[in-house]
Amino acid sequence: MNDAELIERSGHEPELFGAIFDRHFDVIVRFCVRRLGRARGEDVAGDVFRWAFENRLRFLPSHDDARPWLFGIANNLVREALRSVGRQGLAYDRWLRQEEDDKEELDTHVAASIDAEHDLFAVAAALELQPTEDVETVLLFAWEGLSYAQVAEALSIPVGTVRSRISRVRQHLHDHLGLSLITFDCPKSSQGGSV
Amino acid sequence: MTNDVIDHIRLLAPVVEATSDIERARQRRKLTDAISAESIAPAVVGASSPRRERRLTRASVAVSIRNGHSRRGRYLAIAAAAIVAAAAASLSLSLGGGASASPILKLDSYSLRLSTQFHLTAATSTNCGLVAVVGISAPTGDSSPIHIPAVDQSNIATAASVSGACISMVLSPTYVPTPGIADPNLKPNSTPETIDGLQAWLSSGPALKTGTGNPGRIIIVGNNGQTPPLPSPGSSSAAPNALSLLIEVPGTGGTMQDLVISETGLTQSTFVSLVSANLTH
Repeated sequence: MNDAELIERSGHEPELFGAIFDRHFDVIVRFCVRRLGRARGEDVAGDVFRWAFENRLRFLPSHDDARPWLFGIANNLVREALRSVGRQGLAYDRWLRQEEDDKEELDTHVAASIDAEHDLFAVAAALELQPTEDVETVLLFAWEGLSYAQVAEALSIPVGTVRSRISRVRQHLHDHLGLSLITFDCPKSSQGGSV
Repeated sequence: MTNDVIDHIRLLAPVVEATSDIERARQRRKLTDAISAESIAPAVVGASSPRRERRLTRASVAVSIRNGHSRRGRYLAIAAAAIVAAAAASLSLSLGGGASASPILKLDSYSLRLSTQFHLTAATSTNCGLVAVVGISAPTGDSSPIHIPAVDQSNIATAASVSGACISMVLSPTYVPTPGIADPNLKPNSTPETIDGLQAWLSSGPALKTGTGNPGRIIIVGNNGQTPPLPSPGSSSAAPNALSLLIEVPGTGGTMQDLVISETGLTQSTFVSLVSANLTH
C-alpha cells in the first residue's frame, strides 16, 4: 500500500497513519536535526507527524509519496522554531561559530572534498545572508536530495520558482566567492539531488 | 576552488547520528496520542456547519428544559451540547478547516504546549465549566470562615479540544512547607510522578480537595460562584475520567507553590505523557 492509500484509509482507520511515521521518520528527523540541533530537531520531527495526522485530509491523494508533503510541514515548523531565535538558524552556522576543537569531527568528514576549510566558512557565511525562502529551497535540494518537482511540492511553489531560487543562490555564491558554476538540469524523474 | 556551488553546500550538511530508540518512541507517542484523542471523539454522521452546530446545540438544550429544570438536567444538557458541538467542530476541522499552530497554555512562567486539537478558552466555557472553575481561598491566616474570592482568571489557564476534552492549569498561592506535614493541597491516594524533574502527584477527580478551605487551599466553585456541591466523582454528571497532576514547585525563600493541571476527556497515559513532554518553565 503506498502512502496515498494509507493516508486515505487512515481517515476511517486512524491507527494506519502509524505506518507513515515508520516509513519516513528517519528522513524527517534528519532534516529537522540538521536545521535545529538534536534536541529541538527531534522534538519538531515528532510534531511533524502529529500535525500531518491531524491534517491528513489535506494530503492530495494524487501524490503517492508523502515525503514532499512531510518535508513541507517540517520546513514550516522549523521556520517557526527558528523565528523565535531571530536568525536563519542554519545548522551550518556551526561553521561560523564553534571553536576549532569542535570542528574536528566535521573537518575529518569533509577534508578530502574541499580545497580549504575557510572556503566552507565563506560558503556558510554567504548562504546565511540569502533570503530564507531561497535557502530553504536549496537545502531541500542539496541536503535532502529532493528533486526539483519534490521541492516544489514541499514548498507549494511552481517548479520554475524552485529552479530560479536555486539558480539565484548559485549565482550569488559564484559572484562573491568565485565558486564555479556547473550548468545542469535536474532530471525530471530524479528522486535525488545529484547532478 | 573548482567544485560546484551545490557540492559545497552539500558539504555543509551536519552529520546526523541516528535517533535513539527511546527518543524515537517518545516522538512516536505524540502521534499515538493524537490518534487516541481522535478515537475518543464521538462520531457524527453528515456534514457539519456552524448553522448545524447551533441548531444541534439549541435542540439539546431545549430537550433538557422540556424534561425538567433540575440542576442535574442542566448539567447534562450542557455536557450533551458540548459533546455535539465538539463533534461537529471536529468533523468540520477534518473536512478541511484551517490548521493553526499548537496552542500554548500559559500561566505565570509555565507553558504547556498542546496539540492543535485544543484551543484556549475561558475557565467558564462549556467544555471546562465542570472542572476548571476554581477559586483559591484567601490566605487569611485562619481556617474559617472560608473566603472565596471571585474567580481570578489570572490564576487559571484553560483549553478545550474539539473532541470535548478540557485541560486547566491553576497556580496555588505560595506556602511554607512544614517538615513532616504533607502539601496542604495534596489529595489522599495520590500517586507520585516526576514531571520535568519536579515532584508531582497524580490523583483522580476533577481537582483537589473541595470546600475544606484552609488558607491557600485550592477550592472548586461552581458556575454560580458557590462552593460545592459539584457532581461527585462517579455520579452521572461528574466529569468523566477526570485527573489532576499536582506539581510541587520550589519558590523563593523556602516557599513552595503547586501547579495543578487537571483534565477531562484524556486517558491517564495520554495526560501524563502530554504534561511530561510539553510542560516548560
